[in-house]
Amino acid sequence: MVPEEIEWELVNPQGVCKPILANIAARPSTLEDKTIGLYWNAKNGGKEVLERIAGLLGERFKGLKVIKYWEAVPESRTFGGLDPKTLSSMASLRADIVICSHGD
Amino acid sequence: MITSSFMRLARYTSASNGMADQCFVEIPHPIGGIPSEELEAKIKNAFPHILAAMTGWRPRASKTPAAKPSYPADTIKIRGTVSDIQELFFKRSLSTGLPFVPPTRRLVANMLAGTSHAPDEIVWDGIPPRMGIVTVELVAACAVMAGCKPQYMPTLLAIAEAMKEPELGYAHQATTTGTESLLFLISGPMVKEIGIACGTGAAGLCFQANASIGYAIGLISKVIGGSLPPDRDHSTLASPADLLNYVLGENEGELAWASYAVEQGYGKNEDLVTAKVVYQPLDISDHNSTTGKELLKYTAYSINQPYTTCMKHSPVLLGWCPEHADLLVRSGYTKASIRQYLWENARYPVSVYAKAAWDRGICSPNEDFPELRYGSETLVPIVAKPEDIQMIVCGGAGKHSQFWPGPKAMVSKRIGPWR
Repeated sequence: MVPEEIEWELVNPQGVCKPILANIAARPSTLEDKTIGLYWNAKNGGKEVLERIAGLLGERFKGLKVIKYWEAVPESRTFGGLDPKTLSSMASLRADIVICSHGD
Repeated sequence: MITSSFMRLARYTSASNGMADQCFVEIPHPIGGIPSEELEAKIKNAFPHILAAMTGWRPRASKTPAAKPSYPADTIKIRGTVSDIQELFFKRSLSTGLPFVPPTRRLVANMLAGTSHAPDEIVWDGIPPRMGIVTVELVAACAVMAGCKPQYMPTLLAIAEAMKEPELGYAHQATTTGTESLLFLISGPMVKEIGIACGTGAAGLCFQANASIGYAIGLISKVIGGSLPPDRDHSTLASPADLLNYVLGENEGELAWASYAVEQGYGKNEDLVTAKVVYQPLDISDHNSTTGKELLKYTAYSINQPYTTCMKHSPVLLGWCPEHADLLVRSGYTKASIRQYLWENARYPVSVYAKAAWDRGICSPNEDFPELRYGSETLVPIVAKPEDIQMIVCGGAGKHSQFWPGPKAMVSKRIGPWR
């Protein structure tokens, strides 16, 4: 016996997404004399990658300053998400550009 | 910098948080746990791209996303069979592969009768990673799909309210590689009122209230929140509880001590839901102990294992079965003395953590262990403080308790305001 086809009117359970717009800051044209923030989310290997990249950047650009957030703002060393207070502390250090490492 | 396995999640999360265009440099997965020369090669290959990205990348202009009304939900019209609906919903990520009740307008309206709250009320203004807006109407739609009764609605809405609290760690649970699920403990008269099982088989899926509420929450998470594998929910292996969760009541009829809710300062007659992110439970099977001391010794040994973080403040949950709880009470133990015993005796050598755990901050000295250092054979407790060991009484006859470790905090919400 073939199941009967009928007309259905169903509620789409997915709903809409929160409309969010985050403006992305412009990148600097040069890295000389700039401050680079390094954000490590406490996952394996990430710190090593960031440390090495900081070293490679330092060899190329004079006057480069580096903020290691895991040292400057130790609460940022988490893979559980950053709370607003920690984010504010990181932002107050005023990096020109931030490199984040997300991996495992 | 994103490792290749997580690139899709990164793009998705970025877009759902308002950054349709974001600067990513992909590095072959993994970067953790590999030889240093292999990591160095990956860095050298990625470095020119990182350099170019730092000064050469320009974001495309983003447009403010059109604000679509969150209520009423869209209607899906289809002519077909129930099987056709199952197929359509699954293909459109509106279900998870398990069968569901088609959420017709009439059934959703019936479900909404279970709460006085208006269907357009926003319960959560962005469940990650999709940042979907959870309305009372959508909770009702998921409840219909999962086979809930209207009288479950206040509990479901209180659960959704608990899930959005950052300290619970839902955003992490929804996307992590870990085998994490959600556990919801229901306490108060609501347990009897809607038939939440708290005795034999309570943590299983053979009771309508427990099973359908857990499934409905899974649908809210997977369908509205978009936490679907393999691109957004990255649980390496996952478990059935990743979708169906744990919903159980505290066995207040068998309580030897004050309930968890009362212990937290709530009234005995207050309906409450307590949420916790948990790993898979451990069965504490002890049929032999005849004294509380013997049982606690056996329990301490059973639950004694290193966790992702060493002695960080993440409560663990012990679900004592009534017979074990009774033995402990008859032996003169209180919750406080049990906590103290387990904190002092469920200990392992900190040397089990590799050097990387210290570098990552997983291990660090604290006030109780100020001299702790890498490689030490010092025995450390499974949690930072005795009070991080929480306990409830649940389950039926038999001598099997359960233990749920897990990250982050336990969050309680009153159900009453959602009636």
